[in-house]
Order: sequence, then C-alpha cells, then structure tokens
Amino acid sequence: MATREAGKKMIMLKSPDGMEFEVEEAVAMESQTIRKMIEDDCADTAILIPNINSKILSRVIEYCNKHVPTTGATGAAASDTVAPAALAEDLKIWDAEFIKVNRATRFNLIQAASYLNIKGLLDLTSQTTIDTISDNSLEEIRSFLSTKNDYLPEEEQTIRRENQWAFQ
Amino acid sequence: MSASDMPDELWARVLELGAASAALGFRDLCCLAIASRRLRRLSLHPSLWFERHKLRMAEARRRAVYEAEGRVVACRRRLTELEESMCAEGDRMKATAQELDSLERVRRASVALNVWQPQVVHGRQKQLVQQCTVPVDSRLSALHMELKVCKQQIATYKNAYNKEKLKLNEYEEALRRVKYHPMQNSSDTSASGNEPQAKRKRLK
Repeated sequence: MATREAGKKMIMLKSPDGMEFEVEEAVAMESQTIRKMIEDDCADTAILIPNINSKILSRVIEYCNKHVPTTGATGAAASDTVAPAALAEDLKIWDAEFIKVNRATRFNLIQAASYLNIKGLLDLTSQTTIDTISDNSLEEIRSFLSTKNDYLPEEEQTIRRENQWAFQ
Repeated sequence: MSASDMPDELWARVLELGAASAALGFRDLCCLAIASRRLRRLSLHPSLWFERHKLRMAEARRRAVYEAEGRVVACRRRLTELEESMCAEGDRMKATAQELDSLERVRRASVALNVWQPQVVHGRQKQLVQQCTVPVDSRLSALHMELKVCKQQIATYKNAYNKEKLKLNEYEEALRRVKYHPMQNSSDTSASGNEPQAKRKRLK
C-alpha cells in the first residue's frame, strides 16, 4: 500500500493523538512547512505534526487534496478537460461548503493553516472570520470571539468615548 | 479551542487581511476596540489604520483627478460656446452694417432729390427712394443703436473669453499637477512617453 503507482511517493502524517494519515507527497507539499521539511531531507516517510489533532488534520488533508494542482497529477485526468475558469468556480463552491464548520473548528483550522503554512486555507479561514466580525453588534462580536468585557466601568466609558466618532 | 486561545500574531494577520481587503470597516475595528482589552490592543494596531488611510488617500486622489478633468472639460465647453456666440454676434453685426449701408444710400438719394440733377440720375434716385418702404430716419437711428449694442456685446464676450482662457490655463496646470507621477515623468517628451500615458488612461 506504500506506493500505488511508480513516481507517486506517499508520505505518512502523524497527529499527536496517534492517528496516521497516508497522503501523496504532492498533497502534503501544499503545506510550505512540510515542503521545507521534505526538501531539506528532514523527513523520510513519516512526519509528526504536533499540536494538530487528527480531526483537524483530516480536514486539512481534505483541503489539500482538493487544492493540489491538477497539472501532472494522473488521478485528475477527468478534470483536465474542464476549463480553468469553471474549475476555479467549482473550487470556490467547494471552499464555501468546506468552511461551514463550527467556531472552534474554524479557529483550529486557522491555527493549523498558519502552522503548516498553507496560504489558501489561511486566507479562506481568515476571510470567513472577518465576514463574521464585520457588521455585527458589540455583543455578537463578544460572544463570537468568546471574550469577556474586562474593562473597569470608568475605563469602558473612556474607551466608548474614544470610539464614539465611528458611530455618529 | 476558542478565539481567545489564538495567538496575537495570528489575530493580527486575520485583521490585516480584513483591512487590506476593506472587508473590515473602521466601525468594525472600533467595535472590536470596545469589546475587550486584548481586542483593543489588536484592533488599534497602526498598520491596520495605515492601510485604511492609504486606501482612502488613493480614493481621494482619484476623485481629485476626476474633478480636475471635469473642470477642464467644462471650461473648454464654455470657451467654444463663447466662440460660437461671438461668431453669431459678428454675423449680426455684419448684417446690420450692410443694411445700414443700403439705407445710407437711400438717405443720400432722398437728399439729392432736393437739388437739380440730370434726368437719368434723378429718375434712378427717385426709384431708389420709392422702393424703400421703411421710414428711413428712424430705421437709421435704430440700426446705429443695434451696431453699438453688437459692439458692446462682442466686447463683453471677448472679456469673458479671455477670463475663461486664463481659468483654463489654471485648471490645466492643476490637472497636470494632480496627475503628476514621479516614475512616468522622465519619459514625457520622448516617443516612449506615450506608452505610460496610455497605461495611465487605461487605469482610470
């Protein structure tokens, strides 16, 4: 099972909770961090990914699988016939569906994308977070970001006055 | 994991992306500032506001270019309008002068009728006077008046034209200044200068 086809090197990704994921090298190299490891020969076949649990890691791999460049990949021969524009459109729809996850998962994904340095995923998750913040009330933002109002009452008065100009 | 567990630098990156894509408005940033101490520290980071400021400045500059161009175009239009009315007034003046000329001949003929003349000349002058149906004297003074009015009108137009011309120079200078581009200026006179200018036009 290690290599299904010649020329397609498989990489084993291990999450800290003991799960192992076998992915194509090209897919793993969507992550700049892993690419660096592979290029620097720091990894032979198995890479331990610390601080990303198996649930999140499987999602990240799902994303990378979808976003790996189709050029040269024999498995994606069918999609080669589709026009690039339509392909990009498909990918956008897929992304929108992919990011429909709960808050905690999304923040985990941001952190994973940042650690693994996957720009596309980081942009996608960040943008979704921004969309949630923008045009929301103070209370909604607080609950969404699960932050408490930690100002002293008089302090809050000052802060509110300071930012009054934006809401006139 | 929740938002509060996310490290600051990651939050900063998320907010920066929002500011760069203009998805995060200044109201959102201010809202974040009120939410909590940590969010205040993050949302008041100068780079977020600087990006926004740059966007706004660029927008203001584009507006300034539009306005300057609009002023120049309006000025040019006024100038052509003035030219046209000046032309019309000139035509009117010419017509008046012609009429005045022929009336003057009639008047002279009618005066000449009072003295003795050879039969042929007398006959022609009589015919000339009879053909003229308008009261010569009043018409003459009216025509003189009109000529004066035309002259005055043309002088007024000329005055306005010169003033407008000065304004046009001023506006064109302003437009040139607002369009000034440090990187494209050096090749202004050479043949290759056309290229960046075309590019600039396309950008608008």
